Amino acid sequence: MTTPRLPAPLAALGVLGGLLLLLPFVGLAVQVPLRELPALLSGEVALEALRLSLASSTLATLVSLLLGLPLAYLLARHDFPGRRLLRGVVLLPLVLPPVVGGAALLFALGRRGLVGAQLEAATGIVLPFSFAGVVLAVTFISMPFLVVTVEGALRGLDGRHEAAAATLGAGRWTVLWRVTLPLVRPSLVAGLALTWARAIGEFGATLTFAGSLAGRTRTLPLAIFVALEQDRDVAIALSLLMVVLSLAVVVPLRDRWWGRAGSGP
Amino acid sequence: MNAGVASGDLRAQVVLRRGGFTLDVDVHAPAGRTTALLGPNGAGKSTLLAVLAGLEPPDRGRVTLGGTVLDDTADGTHVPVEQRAAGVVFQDGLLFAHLDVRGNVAFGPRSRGASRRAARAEADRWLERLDLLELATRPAGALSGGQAQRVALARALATDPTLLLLDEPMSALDVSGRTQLRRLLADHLPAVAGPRLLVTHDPTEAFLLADLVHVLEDGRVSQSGTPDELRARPRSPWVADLVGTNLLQGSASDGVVAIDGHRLATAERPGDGPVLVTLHPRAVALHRSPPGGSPRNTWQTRVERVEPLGPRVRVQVGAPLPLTAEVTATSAERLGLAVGEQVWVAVKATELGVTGG
Repeated sequence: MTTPRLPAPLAALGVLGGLLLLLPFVGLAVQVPLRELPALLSGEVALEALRLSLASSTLATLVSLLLGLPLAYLLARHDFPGRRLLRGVVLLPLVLPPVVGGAALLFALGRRGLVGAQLEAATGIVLPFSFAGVVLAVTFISMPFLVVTVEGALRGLDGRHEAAAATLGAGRWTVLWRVTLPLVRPSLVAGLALTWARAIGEFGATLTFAGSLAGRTRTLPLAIFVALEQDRDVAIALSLLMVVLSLAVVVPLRDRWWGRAGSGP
Repeated sequence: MNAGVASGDLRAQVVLRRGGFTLDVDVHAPAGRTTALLGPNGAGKSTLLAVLAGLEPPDRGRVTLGGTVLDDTADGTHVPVEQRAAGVVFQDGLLFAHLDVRGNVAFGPRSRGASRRAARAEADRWLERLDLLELATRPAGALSGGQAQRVALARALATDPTLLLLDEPMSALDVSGRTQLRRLLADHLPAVAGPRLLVTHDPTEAFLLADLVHVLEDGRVSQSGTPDELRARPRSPWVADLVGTNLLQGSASDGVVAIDGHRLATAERPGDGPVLVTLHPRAVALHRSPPGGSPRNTWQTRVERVEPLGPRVRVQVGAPLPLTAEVTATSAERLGLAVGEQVWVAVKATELGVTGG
């Protein structure tokens, strides 16, 4: 069966749309100082930022897994008062400007914040402008990707395979570990990858809550922002690095996740 | 292995309401026997099975297995599903698609605390017993419907169940898959020491596999008894219509089926070998004198029993081929049917349903 072809004017608009998305990357690519690239990427500024970005995004992804997976399960399969509200709150970081998220974190966990003041008094821990603060801000922004993806998959299960597992003698932990999680594994993998990709690109909330301290809280996106004013070549090299990292996550997902149109939640 | 639930007879008094539907039954299933729950769709059979498995708590009632109380709403007893040691075969198998066949069968023993190695060894023992060993490494998602149900049976048996529950295991299969699974069940059910319950809407399955049948209609047991008792004395129109069908076992060769030496001509030409023949009582014609016309199967016999059922009369005839016939009360009177009378039986070849036995 052949699918009908798009009328020429619309096809032209489609091509234009593709160009709009492609052009900036072409602009970036032609600016790349190929000869100095190895030196730029192995410079201290770049390595420090890369290390901070990889560490914070990976930690944020792990925290999201640890907290977000149970949250997704609660939202999908438990009925409790305020569930609808919580579902909405989970979506907030996806749509709010990250700077608002960062500001909210400051009001809650800053040194004079709602919880932050007590936290400091009790444990001496100060989150803002620390690496832990970066992880917190990044988790706040990226965890919803995991929660939303996995919640949708869990809601799609009818529970009958899990019932079958229980008749075979499997307790709750075994059912969760050996049946439920394998059943939602494709969504879980996609959710983790999306979470990590969003985490490594996080800028606004990190800057607002954790600042831009070189070697402590200045992740790749922040380093690029700073470098744009100081050393364009460093900015270009770091941007290229981000593009490559993001593509590495998004391209395999494109077919495995979004490719199956209609089967998602 | 079975968390303290010893086997024994199953006794279930269960009341359960779901919307406008009420299940209200008191059934008994002896250990070492196969008991069928037979009834039309929507009668509550699968709901009852879910209660017995522990998947649905009853609104009111008491379920006991041997000396163990599984459910008692009077004192709040409810043994959780995973501690019941009930093996369940579901209508659509519900195999775990992310595991291979061996992993599916090993799941039960593993969940009950066996080591990975012991569980796999136990799985292989059952796969071999059920002649499925060659499928062991096949992903469960890549099986045919018939294969999947046989693996599901192996998975249920591998838990050494004290109670085996079969929920319409054959209804999603094609004819040959059904025959194959039915033979497998006939071979392996007797080895299960506890009660075996078979939910089905197909009287043939119930009669071939069950020692005892409870007929469920509209959430209630309308009749209980052995297959022979049900066939001989159906107490409701549904039972009479579906359960009262004559079911004969014989062997086919050259388009003729021999049943205990009696030969019947059939319109369908089955392959040579063992066959099952079904014949509706209304298709058994009775005559006072040798009938003319087309029927190729005619013989003379003796009336053994005459039983009225509403406007109809069920007549049991004897050797050489015991059959139930159903005629209207008017023609019974006209023929003067009474126990001990000689009658002629006529059966059209086209009325005989023949399937592989």
